[in-house]
Amino acid sequence: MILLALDTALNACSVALVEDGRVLASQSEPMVRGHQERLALMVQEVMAKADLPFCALDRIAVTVGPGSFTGLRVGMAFAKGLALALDRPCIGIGSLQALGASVSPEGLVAAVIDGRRGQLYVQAFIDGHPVMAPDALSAEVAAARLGELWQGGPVTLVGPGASALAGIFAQAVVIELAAADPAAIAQQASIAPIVPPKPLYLRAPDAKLPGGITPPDLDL
Amino acid sequence: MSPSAAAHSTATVTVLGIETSCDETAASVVRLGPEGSVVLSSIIDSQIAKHAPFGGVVPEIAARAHVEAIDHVIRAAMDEAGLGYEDLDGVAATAGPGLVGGVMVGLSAGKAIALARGLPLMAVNHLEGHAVSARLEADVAYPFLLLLTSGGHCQLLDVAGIGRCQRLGTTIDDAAGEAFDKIAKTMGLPYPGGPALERLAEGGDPTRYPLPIALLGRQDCDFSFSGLKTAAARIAVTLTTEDERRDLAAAVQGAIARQLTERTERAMALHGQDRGPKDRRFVVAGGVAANGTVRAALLAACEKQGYSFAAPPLRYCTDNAAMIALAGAERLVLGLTDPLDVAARPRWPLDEAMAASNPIHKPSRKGAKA
Repeated sequence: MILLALDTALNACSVALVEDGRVLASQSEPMVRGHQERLALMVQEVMAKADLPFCALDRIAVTVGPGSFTGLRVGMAFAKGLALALDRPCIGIGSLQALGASVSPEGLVAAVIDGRRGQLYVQAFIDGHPVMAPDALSAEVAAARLGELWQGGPVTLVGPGASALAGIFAQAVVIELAAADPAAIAQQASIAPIVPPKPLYLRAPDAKLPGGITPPDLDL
Repeated sequence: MSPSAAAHSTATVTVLGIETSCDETAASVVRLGPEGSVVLSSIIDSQIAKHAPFGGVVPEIAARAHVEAIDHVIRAAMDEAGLGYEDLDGVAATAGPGLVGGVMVGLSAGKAIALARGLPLMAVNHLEGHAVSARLEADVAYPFLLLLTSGGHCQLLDVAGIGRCQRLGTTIDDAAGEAFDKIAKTMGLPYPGGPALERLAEGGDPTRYPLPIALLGRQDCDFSFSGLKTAAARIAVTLTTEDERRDLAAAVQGAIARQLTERTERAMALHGQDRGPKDRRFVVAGGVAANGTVRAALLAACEKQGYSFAAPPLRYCTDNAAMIALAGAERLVLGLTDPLDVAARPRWPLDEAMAASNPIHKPSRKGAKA
């Protein structure tokens, strides 16, 4: 199975072309903005490097968040466009899941993204299996949750917000990855059920109803 | 015209258009040939219900809705056209001006389709889409005088052809559609206010409340609606009966139509100076062109000034992707395609030289809006 994985959710623009776990070509460039301009050319370059036509793709994978609202929409819109034009399935992978899969799965792995406004986006895995859903938490609550989940053994904190929780486990390995390894995204997507990508913002739009009322049930 | 463009001009091209610059997710397939254009499909997924509680378009809510809807809307447009991607000659997407979070969604999806199928990409200016909208399935030749009037824009343009627009005038404050919407909001009408205000105005007496009409008789072709907005808001709070509300709605509509018409006639005097009867063509486009009173007043002005009148059908006045597909198809025929790293532009005047040299507002850090 040949997969193309895209990630524009965080401070990098990344593309990987993977066949049955083997990376055929990949590219990742750090950037805070400019994903929209760069992504199409990077995909073109990666396909050219592997000398593959687009019709050779079996699946498209894309990170769905949490992350930069604009970044993840660029990636998802692009992935949906590819999937439509090629008539192939498109699979959404959580950004925290992708970060967690970018490091050795042994023990407790916590993926952490700084969500700003005093929030961390956190998801934890034990031996590669998720043990909590992605959530937006204060540093204190996140530390308490991870403390409850830890059953002894190695601890890895990974992601652009990892250092915010570095103090809670003396023995933790802290890996401040700016963004996920796109090959890990492809790997996750190769075993995922085919579910269309749905954005995971973990934060409601900043919109108030007339009179300054916070609207109920805005989709996260 | 370049030699390559001339070679293309007898060809027939089929283009997918994508529009996501405000609160409609839209896709359309248009075929353009020597005989003119045919709209093979035009799908519009409106977000009005999502924004209505807020009384206006919320950019982040719009962007979220676009990314959820974009693939369904494009698929529906291709299905309705009965075509596969192999039948397309190019992909056109709105690249601005507009709410950039939404623009990026449509532009990214368009780039992906163009890249995956090896098709040329046309990054279309949304205003150019409105400019060509009267040419959808109709024989409206260039050049023409264009009144582009919507919720975001109010401009008079001399349109010589694709990519060749000269701005004659623009609003110095609000757009006409913005005035409609905001006055409607102060009168307690539901969003979008323009159509609601038009319905309320039916049978009303437009002379009961005299309202200010700005810039009458001025030598330029600019517009201003903020004084009207304030005056109408002051009256609106004093009204008690349904009759009074109907008369105010009629007065507002009449005042907007009057200013649009007076300023347009001024532009006709300038534009028509050296033009024979055949080249005196007038086009009105944009959401406000859907208003019956405005249309009727402009039609009368055309008769008075010796101009032919054209307006797109109502479904192509408001935002749609057919106009983007047509602008893209016209660009493709001229060889005007764009690279895959083209940026989304929140601000993108049609007449960049005029917007830069004679800005109505002091341009912000990001440049002139339109």
